Amino acid sequence: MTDGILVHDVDAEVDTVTNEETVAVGHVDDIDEESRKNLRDHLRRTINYSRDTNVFTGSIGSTAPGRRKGKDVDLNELSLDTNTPSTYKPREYFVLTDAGKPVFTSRDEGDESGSLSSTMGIVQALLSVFLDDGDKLRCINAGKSRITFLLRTPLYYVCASSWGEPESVTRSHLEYLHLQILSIVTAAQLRRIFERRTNFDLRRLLNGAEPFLFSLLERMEFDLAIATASLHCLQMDPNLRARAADSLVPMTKIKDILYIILVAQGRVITLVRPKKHSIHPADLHILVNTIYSPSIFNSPASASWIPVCLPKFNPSGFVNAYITFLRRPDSNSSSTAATTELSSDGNPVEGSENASDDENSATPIATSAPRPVSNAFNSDASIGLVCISGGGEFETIRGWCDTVAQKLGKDGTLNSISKAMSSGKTDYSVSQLSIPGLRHFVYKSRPLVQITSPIFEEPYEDLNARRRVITLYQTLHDAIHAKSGQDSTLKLQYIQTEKEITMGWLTQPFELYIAFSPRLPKSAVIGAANAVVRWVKKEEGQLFLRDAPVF
Amino acid sequence: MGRVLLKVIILGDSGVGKTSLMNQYVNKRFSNQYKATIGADFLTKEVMVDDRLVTMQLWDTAGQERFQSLGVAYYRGADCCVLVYDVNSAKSFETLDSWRDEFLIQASPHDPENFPFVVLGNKIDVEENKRQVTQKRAMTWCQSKGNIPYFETSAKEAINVEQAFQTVSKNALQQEAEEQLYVDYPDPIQIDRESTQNYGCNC
Amino acid sequence: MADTASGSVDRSVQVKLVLLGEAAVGKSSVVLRFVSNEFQANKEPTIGAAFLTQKCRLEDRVLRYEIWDTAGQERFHSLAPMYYRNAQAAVVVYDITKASSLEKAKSWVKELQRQANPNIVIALAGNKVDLVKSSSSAGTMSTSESEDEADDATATPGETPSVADGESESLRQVPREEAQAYATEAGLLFFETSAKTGEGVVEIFTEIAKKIPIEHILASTRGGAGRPGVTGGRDGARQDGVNLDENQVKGKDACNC
Repeated sequence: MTDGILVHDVDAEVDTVTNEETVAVGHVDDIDEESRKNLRDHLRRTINYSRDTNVFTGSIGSTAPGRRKGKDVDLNELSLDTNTPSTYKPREYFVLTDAGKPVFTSRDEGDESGSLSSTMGIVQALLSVFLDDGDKLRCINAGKSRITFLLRTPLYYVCASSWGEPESVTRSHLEYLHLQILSIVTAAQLRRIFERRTNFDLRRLLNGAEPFLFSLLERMEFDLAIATASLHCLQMDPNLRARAADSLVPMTKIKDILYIILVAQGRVITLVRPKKHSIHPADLHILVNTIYSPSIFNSPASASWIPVCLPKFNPSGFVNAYITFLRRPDSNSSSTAATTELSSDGNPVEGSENASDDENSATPIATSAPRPVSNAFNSDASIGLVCISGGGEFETIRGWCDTVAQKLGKDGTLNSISKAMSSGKTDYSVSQLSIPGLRHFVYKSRPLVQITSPIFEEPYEDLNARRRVITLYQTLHDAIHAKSGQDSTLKLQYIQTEKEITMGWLTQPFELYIAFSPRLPKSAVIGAANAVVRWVKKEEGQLFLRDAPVF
Repeated sequence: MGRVLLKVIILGDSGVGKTSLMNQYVNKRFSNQYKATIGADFLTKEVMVDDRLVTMQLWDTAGQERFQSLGVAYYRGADCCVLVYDVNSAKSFETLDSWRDEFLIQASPHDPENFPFVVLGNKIDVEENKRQVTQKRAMTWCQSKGNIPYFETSAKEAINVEQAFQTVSKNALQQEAEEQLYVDYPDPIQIDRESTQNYGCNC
Repeated sequence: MADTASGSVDRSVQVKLVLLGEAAVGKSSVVLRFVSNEFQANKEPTIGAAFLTQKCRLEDRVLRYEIWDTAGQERFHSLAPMYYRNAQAAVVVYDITKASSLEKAKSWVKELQRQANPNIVIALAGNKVDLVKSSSSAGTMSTSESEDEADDATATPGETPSVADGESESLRQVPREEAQAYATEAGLLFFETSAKTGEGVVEIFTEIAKKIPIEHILASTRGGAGRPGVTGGRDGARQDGVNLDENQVKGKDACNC
């Protein structure tokens, strides 16, 4: 339903079974309705008593963060019920099987693996009590924390967060976790394995793939594209981008090629695809996360060849991803530069060519300590070429990617892109807009399903401040789209706190989320927002990926 | 290879002493308060079995009827099951049969004949004349049900409890070892470039 | 074939080589050591397969190893045939401090012998030898003959020397002799290696290079069917592997695919 690169926002949900209801096996028939109801009530009372919480059930309850004060005609102000936290404790994520076995936890297990196993058991039991009653537990609010549940049989997903974000946010995180897991094992395989063995320990299959999940969690903290289900491409001169794209188009009919993507600094430069195939933003996010995960990105190999499932495209099977990084800054230490001298008596030759000083110097190794993703790749100079194919032969794909890389090198495109990256042309700062009081914004082009956004600068260099403003954007987004069961959608939402003014604005062609200095007078806010829109329109050639060739 | 987690269900009439047995077996009690509300308490115990570190996720389930409908969910994916009765209560022994049957029905293990059970006869420290179930009778039943290993124990004596769990986890591991993990990579998806990819909402 | 006497161009022969073995035995580290002479502790596990190339000169031969470093996790097992198909050489790696990894290695060897190219040259590598050696005795152990008996006067000649000088026995789970015996019986090259110190790594690739029947490869590449990676007909790829000197210069600019 779209000719564009990206599919318009549809839900990221992928079910592993065809219908949501779980069918109880060996259900005991003569169950007493009365006692089941008693159990539920007892449970509710107990939880209320011990945690002073509200338990939300499957019916949609309003979790809108505040009352609305109608003020000016179009501008609605949200007042936040709770104070925003000053520090944002890391959210915790858990994945378990529907038997209650742990699959993944973002928490550092350490000595605690004992309590993890018990916690997973309790979660499964809690969810089962509600499921038994034909209901689904969605979340539990406990003081300032919310625990969100997502059921994707045979897996259950849990997130505990004290950030005060809308429920739709953590739910979407859990959905993405699910998609990433599907990208590793496929929905078909997952279903099949658990049909045969309900006691299966999925960690066996995910062994070695945890880095993908961790990098996804890191990414989701600050990634505005994921938050808005859109693409955030690298800013670039449109002619340069187009030149790059032209080199990616397969000249001959190479069977089964699906997407060819050029990436840099953690983002997409351009994407070439078959005419009738748009890519779903969620698939693209999963793919980019996979590519930039340390397992692939830090590999010293010249190329990786991995099976990956694109769950929105086809959750039942794998496609192949050929991934190669060009222009690695430390290219001296990769494969083809030097020749090894082998001596016939089997001893390494003295002064062997590949034992050069350059190579013995430390190669920058990404540590596993998480860094904020929005900065993590900004200083990286590599340019990645990715080819997604169905049954394509490795040699064919590799040979063709070789050709592409050489073309990009020969005609200077790689150089130009590198130059743009190193001279800061691939991102921009709010100061370039010269709008007083403007601190940051996210502009989403709805027809293109893409966003543009400046880098985070003061006061959002501080990570907690960044989390705060992102949470505000999410609150606005949620309210505007009525994602948490609010009564109606809104065109314009406005939040004023002592730290900043944030606003969300929905129109037919765009959505805009914007942060201002708290001192900006309200009368200036709309004008400033309009100025942003005008600027984006003027610069859109550079800001968005348009008219990429198809084949 | 790697860490192993076994889901262990503990079944038996209320009053046979499951809870104190578990308390004794598991030094660090994690949760004590859920049984009345959700029908199970959860404990974790780590043991070495044949040089492998095994985490046992123990589901100490309530005996009451009102939690019966939860059996399917609670027993799902169990790797082994411990049946407990009180040697001084013939009734608690007689119901073992229904506990076992019910478990097999609700858990639906893929190989019910070989599903690892173990039976614990508890409270042997009570005076001999109070004893209602002889060892012989218990062992006969166990043998008839596929040679279920049988142990007798008391809350004061840890030894047999440990052995019982060692035995049942060993048997559970054996079941796991026999199973090959086949991950299929069927030929990668054939890309059909000619037809439009449909992302319609699947609601 | 190259005619060095007349000074004409050496032609490098492409040899597809695949690394197999249980997860975490050190396959990627062995490759990294060979290709870049580096070692990185705490590497992330390989996903799918990583592809690297490395040119080697051995006397009058120039080989270009096209190396498939495969992921050892269970879930990738059934992808292996794609990786070892048409491979001329394989290095099956195990971890000498983990006996089960030798069992896995044996099953890989069996699979290769059944399904792979019948002329495939297989080397068995017992990695992580640095973990059982104290630093003073690391490094120069010749791998072709393992006659380094303990200097200890109490060592009985003829007894299997399971403790070499300075070796800490506690971590080692696979005695060298056991693996050597198996390798001999199965017709494999055998080395103990340490990707960390470099011990044994170049030797493996050297011995493989010596054992590869170059003539076979050249014949089959000319034949055109199922060739190991020479992608004739495409200028880009053909330029690799033709002239060593040319390639050294080119290597800096061309992409590393």
